[in-house]
Amino acid sequence: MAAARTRRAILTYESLGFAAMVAFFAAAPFFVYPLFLMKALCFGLFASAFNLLVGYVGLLSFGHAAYLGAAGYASAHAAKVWGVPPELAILFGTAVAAALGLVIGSIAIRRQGIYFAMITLALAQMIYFFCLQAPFTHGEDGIQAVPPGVLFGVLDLNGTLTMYFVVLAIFIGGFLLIHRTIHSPFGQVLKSIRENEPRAISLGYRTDQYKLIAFVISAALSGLAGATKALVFQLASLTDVHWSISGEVVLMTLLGGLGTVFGPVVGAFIVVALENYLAQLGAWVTVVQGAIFVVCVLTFRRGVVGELGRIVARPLRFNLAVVVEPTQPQPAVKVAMVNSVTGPAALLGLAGIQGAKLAVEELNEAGGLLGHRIELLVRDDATAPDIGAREARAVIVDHEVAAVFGPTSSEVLLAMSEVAKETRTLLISHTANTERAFVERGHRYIFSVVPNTFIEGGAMALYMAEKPYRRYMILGPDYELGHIEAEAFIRRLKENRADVEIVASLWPKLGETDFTPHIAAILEAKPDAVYSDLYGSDLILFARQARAHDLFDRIPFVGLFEVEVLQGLGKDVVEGVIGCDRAPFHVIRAMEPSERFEDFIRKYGANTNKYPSGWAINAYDAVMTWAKAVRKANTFDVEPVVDALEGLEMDSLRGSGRVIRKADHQANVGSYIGVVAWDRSFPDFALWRDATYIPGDRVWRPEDEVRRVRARAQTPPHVSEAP
Amino acid sequence: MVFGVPTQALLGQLLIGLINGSFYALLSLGLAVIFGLLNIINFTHGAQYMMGAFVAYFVMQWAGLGYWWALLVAPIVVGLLGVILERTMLRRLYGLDHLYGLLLTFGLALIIQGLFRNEFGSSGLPYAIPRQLAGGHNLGFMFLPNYRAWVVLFSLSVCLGTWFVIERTKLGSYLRAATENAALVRAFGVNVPRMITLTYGFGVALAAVAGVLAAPIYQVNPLMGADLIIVVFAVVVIGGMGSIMGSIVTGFALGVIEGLTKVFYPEASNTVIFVIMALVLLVRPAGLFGRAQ
Repeated sequence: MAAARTRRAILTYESLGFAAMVAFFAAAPFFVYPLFLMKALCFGLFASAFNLLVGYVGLLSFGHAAYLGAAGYASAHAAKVWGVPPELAILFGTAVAAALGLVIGSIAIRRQGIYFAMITLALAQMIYFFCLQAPFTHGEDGIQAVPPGVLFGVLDLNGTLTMYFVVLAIFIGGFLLIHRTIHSPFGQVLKSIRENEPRAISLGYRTDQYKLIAFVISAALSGLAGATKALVFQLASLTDVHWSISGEVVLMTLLGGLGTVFGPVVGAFIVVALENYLAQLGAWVTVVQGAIFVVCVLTFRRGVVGELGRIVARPLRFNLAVVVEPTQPQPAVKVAMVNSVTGPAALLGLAGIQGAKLAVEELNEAGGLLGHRIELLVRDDATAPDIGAREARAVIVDHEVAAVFGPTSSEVLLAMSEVAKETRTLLISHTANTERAFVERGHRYIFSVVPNTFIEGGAMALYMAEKPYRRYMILGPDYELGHIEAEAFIRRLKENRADVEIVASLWPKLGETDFTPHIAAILEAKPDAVYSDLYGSDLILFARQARAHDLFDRIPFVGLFEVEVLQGLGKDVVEGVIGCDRAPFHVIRAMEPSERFEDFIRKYGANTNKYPSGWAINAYDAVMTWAKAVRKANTFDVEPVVDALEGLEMDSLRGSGRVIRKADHQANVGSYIGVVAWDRSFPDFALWRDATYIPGDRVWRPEDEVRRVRARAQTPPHVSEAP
Repeated sequence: MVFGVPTQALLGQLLIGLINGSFYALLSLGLAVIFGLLNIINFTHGAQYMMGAFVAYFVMQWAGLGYWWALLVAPIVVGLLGVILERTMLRRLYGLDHLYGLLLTFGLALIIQGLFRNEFGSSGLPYAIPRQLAGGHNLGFMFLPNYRAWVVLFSLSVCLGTWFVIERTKLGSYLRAATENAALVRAFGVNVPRMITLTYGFGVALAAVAGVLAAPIYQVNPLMGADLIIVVFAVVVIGGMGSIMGSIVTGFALGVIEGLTKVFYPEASNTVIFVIMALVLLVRPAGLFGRAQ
């Protein structure tokens, strides 16, 4: 909720800021000298283009004058010597700058950091000398008396006001283009390169291409500013190619706020105004500029807009317009997700990782937590308990993570839980759900934001008790989760229907590939219904093979047909089977519609090309709920955060009211159940019809029973056996 | 005649190339020494080179002390100013992105150059060649001014001396160790922060030496270092900042190449170093003597 609010707030602030800026510039020429305003607008666009590179890709170019100046020469030459109309002159100047950016960029991106700055500076100096010597630039004189011309054959740019509004339109166009770039998936990749280039490379991004494209866009927009400026001042001269302009654009951006949307414009305005007023003072301008540099670097690194945003938006805990700071003053706080990247449960594990990543991204975009950026470390437990425990311990010891999220497999959870207990580290389970981890072996540091086996099995039993079936067959993976959830189902079903009988139980091993014997056994036993807690890839495989034997047409079947499985099955799905899901997006979006949830679905789709399954949503909720507890505790320390979590209402995409109870640290989350069916308006994969939600507190183990079971389980045997 | 160019002109440009190379070598050496330990690219270097020349001018005007004194006093004065700068400002940036160091020193360069320009204009002040080095020798194939020969020899010996101290002495071994792993060297009881301060002072002093050497040739001009520093950056990129000897060799070699370009294709003489930089980056992104990261 908070994140959605801040996100909306960012957008609102940005659109408010944008509207204010446009209104200001639209009214300004009637009060302020228009030529000054036009200069400020050109430099504002120039600085914004520069900021795209330094603020969002982390590349400090010290040679941006080359694009401003070269484009100025190109458009002035085209307008004056070739006599082309202004729109073509500006286009030509922009194209020249883009081409120059392509050449210089492809050389400069071969190095990073300080080298990048020095290389761009040196190459720009080369352009300067070229412009100094080339005949068409007219050396020290420059190209003078450039005719502004008639735009599109209609607008005579000799009129100052006409020219002003054309410049304003160009500025707004360029500004919006930059804004669009930053907020596109492309922009996200750029930010990831800035934050951690090796990781972006390991994720398969060709970072050099991304950097080059960003460089060319930045150069082209700088060229747009330069080409426009040449027509406004009817002059293209060496000043605009000189390194001092490269320094000036750095100053504007630094002063306004690196990596902020409006900062460069504000900075450009201040610097241009300063130059106007100090013009008589000669070299003092340089001294003042240098002094601003020094002050900004030493004490004012966020810039005007960044500082302003911090003051205005402090209660919202994000920096107005500061999307992410180039360098974080506070060290990042690390959290870990230990989950199945490989192994039989990888389908679920990877979905969980994506969900958690989105949550962390959102937190960071909103300015982090308590002023700290959050860093998510992902470790693979290979769906094996020993590896899970080892990885959890390693990440806890080496990185002092504030919390561990994960895993998928219940056996891995039991192993990891021991590590969490021993190291007093918060462990929030968002997929693995064996009740034993929270009740029998529960402890202070483990929390569950998923329906545990008791809830999930119980909810299904409650639902099935209304059906006329009497003779059940059980089909489940042969390990912790399979048995314990089936037990909960049977127990609850028998409580509600005395006549139920279990005719047989089948336990294929986790990761089984050939289910033919099990299918044959079911067909032979002819039960009234089959209850299955196979999940993920196992269920997909089973369903495909069972469909070939028409099993679903003959015998009613209840199983974990959740979004991940439905997506995996695609057209191979059989309508009519009963599904159970912890967070089906298609049901939630109908039951609890929210902009935040739609936003999540969109972003998840952009990253993975899939719809978010319950595994992803639960992982997201886990991270957000932890964040909520951290805010409440106002610290990352584990003891206060645990205290804050007890009794806390989850920050959940699934809706409100999901409170975590103290007894077993179980959130009041329930089970969604429905009948698999195609939805005409949704062709991608089958969804459900007749969905219902059974809340956790309808079926969870009563608190006194939790205490009793835990006391019995955790008391040493010689005590409990005493008379 | 060599390749259709008079030998006299060729050798003359070669000498000018060597002179320029001396300055490139001294300045890029200073930059490399500073970068090695501080991880900062010292944009103020050009301004400090200029200040070296001005100190020479001041001691002449105010104290009547000549060139030889200037050669001693200028590095000390400018080096001390550098020490103050490091202690009061640069030190506060070590935890941040290295780019902030670049921005701070750029700002300082603007301030220093602006102040000097306000006070002394931009036309330059004359500084005479010391009496002992006036005149020159006719070598038969060319005329060799004594002062220019001195500049080449002296800067070469300063460079080699620096190389010797850093690569062959115990002090230098501390320095190199601190470059590799400052925390570890600190654990051995070496006062690393002081070493950093002194290293910056020393690197800056090298720039001041170059400034004094330049004063009789180029006059004393507030902007003498402003454009030069950009060329030196290119030199540093070409050589890579991994090795001391690398920056010395690259400095002299590029000076000579630039001189030769003036003879054979004068239009490109201003840009040849930048072109070489682009080519080197395409072939060896880490620079000729740099280590790949």
